[in-house]
Amino acid sequence: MKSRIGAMVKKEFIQLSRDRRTLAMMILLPVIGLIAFGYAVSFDIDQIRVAVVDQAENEASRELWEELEAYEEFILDKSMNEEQARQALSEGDVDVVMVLPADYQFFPQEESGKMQTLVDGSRLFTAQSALWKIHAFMIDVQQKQFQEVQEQIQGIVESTEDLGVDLSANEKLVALGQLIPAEKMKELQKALEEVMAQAKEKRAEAMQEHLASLLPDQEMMEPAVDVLYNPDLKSVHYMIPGLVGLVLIFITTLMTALGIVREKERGTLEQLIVSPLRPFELILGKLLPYMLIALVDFLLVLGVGITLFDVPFTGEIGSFFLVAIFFLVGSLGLGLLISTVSQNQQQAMQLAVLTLVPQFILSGFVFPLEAMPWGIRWAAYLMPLTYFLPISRGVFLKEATAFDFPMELGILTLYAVLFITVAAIRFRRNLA
Amino acid sequence: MLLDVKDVSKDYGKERAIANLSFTLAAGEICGVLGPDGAGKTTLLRLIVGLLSPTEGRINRKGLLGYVPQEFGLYEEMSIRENLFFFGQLHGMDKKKIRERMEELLAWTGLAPFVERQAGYLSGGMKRKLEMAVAMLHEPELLVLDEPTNGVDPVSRQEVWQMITRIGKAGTGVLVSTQYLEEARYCNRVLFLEKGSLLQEAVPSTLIQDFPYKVVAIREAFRSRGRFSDLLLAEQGVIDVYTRGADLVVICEDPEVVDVLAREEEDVVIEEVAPSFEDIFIHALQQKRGEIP
Repeated sequence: MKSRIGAMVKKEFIQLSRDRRTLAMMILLPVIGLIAFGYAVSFDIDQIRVAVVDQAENEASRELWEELEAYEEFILDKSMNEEQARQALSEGDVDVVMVLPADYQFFPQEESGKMQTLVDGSRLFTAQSALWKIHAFMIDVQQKQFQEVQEQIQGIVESTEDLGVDLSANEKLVALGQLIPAEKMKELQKALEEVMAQAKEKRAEAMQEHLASLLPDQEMMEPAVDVLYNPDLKSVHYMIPGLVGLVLIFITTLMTALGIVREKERGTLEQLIVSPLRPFELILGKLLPYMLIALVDFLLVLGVGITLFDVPFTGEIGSFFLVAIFFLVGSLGLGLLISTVSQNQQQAMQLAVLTLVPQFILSGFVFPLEAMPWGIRWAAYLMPLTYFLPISRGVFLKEATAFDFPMELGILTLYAVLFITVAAIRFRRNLA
Repeated sequence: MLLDVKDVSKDYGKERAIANLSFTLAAGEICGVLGPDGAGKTTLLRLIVGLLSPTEGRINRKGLLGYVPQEFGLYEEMSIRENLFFFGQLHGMDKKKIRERMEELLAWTGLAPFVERQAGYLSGGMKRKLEMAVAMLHEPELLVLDEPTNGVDPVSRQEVWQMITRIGKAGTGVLVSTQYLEEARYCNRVLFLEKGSLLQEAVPSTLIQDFPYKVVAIREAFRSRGRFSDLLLAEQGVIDVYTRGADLVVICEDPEVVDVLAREEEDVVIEEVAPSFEDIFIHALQQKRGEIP
């Protein structure tokens, strides 16, 4: 038995070594895919292009411009009027248009003084990125402006300290002063001034304190946000762990289906059936090589992801490898299943793509499951990749082991057993 | 008996591909399966090797099996050596045994100089020989060949039949299908199929003896063929007239009807010949279809 399976595995590798294109596809495609996805599929936009239309040209607008210029994430253009700027936005030459109306004020009292911001929603990710950046910028600037207002208020309070009182201007006091010797009068005036100054100072202090309690503390205004696991919110850190799963499922499902259907198409499968090779030996002999290649791919993608894209691998590799094997067995079963219903390689290819595309879209690889309506979401929960992704992301980024995801692990194991069993039964029936 | 086929029928949906067929095959016997396209030859062979299961009836097969399908069924990316080695291992042979058999078979098929060549780069005849070598590698008792001479040049065809004859002589039972009716002469026995039923089961040599008509060849009839044919078909007792190469062949009850031509033209060369297997089977077919008495 062992020698027959061994012969099958060896045969598969001889065939692959002669079929360089397929071999290259199996080894290089995942890496190329990873690099392409890693670099291209990023929602992070470093700089956005902003057209500023200044219709006010007042102090507030000039101040805002200075602030904008200091911000490195903006590429600014002030040369356009509103119509030109809107045109540039629609043609994609700029990402954002800021219109400062004639009555522009930073803290406007009326609607006509408000700044208007335009983004192009048809370029979804750019628009989201731009909104995010503008929001951050506005908060910065608002804080600065707020601080200035605060300082101004304090200035007003302080300026009321010196009341500018002149005792000699009061007639009653002058009359009283004549009853007292001039020297004593001076002393009295001095004492009075001191008492009053102290009272004023006290009063000013109280007012300042009161004001300070009314105006919020600048530093305390900022919410305390800690982004865990992916502090810089890099999309590549989110994509690579998912990509590991996608690559595995793609290679195994497609290659298994094609590999078996090719034997069917060329008539070699009949020779195998007529030989003493038993069905389970045939299945094992066919699946093992793809399993080995997929595991090599797995390590390759893992290595490239970690070294080239600096994606941290914080969790535990052993259990992750185990999950990968379960996941792979499921995909191999799916490939085998496809091969039982396909008559030729073209059909197998189409069917494989038919099972892979929904996984790509619905599994949460790119788009969050939470954002999907339940009408579609249930379909996502039928897909193995949906359960692999949380484990992969957890192990990569959250210092987890695969056993921290017992439900996902259980479902993947169930899928592996289910797919491979159904496929094997169907395949056997096909052979008979 | 190596093979005992009893009342076997095979349906594809509503269509009956094989109808109630029975026959046996003994060791050392070469049994030809003949018939026109669509007669059910391949279906019958696939039933026997187990690639299909019968709708009715049973097939008992004994001993090791070797099978050469109609289409080339070996690995084109692998060399002759690799193919032989792979199938040897599938049959549980050890490396030493495979090497021994491989040498024998390579010498026997004449493939030895090409042992490292990938199967995909072999000629049609060489591919056939390789398939036979693979099928014979584990020394099967029963060898099933599906149209082994189809698409092979005349020289290779003869070589393939020489190999089959030797395999039979060595004691292996051979079941071989062919669409070339003349190849019946290499067989000990033939099954002639028509629409899934057994039209005739016979020993080729007796078939020739038992043919109820005479066959006459009019040599080099060339230009007069059309006129001769019309003349002869008008005569009583002429069953069929057809051209074969340069000759006109007449199948008739009595060869003397051909004398009608001598009256027309003096230098016709008329010769009585043995019936070909084509004559015999086409006659049987026409009789079955009720076209001739």
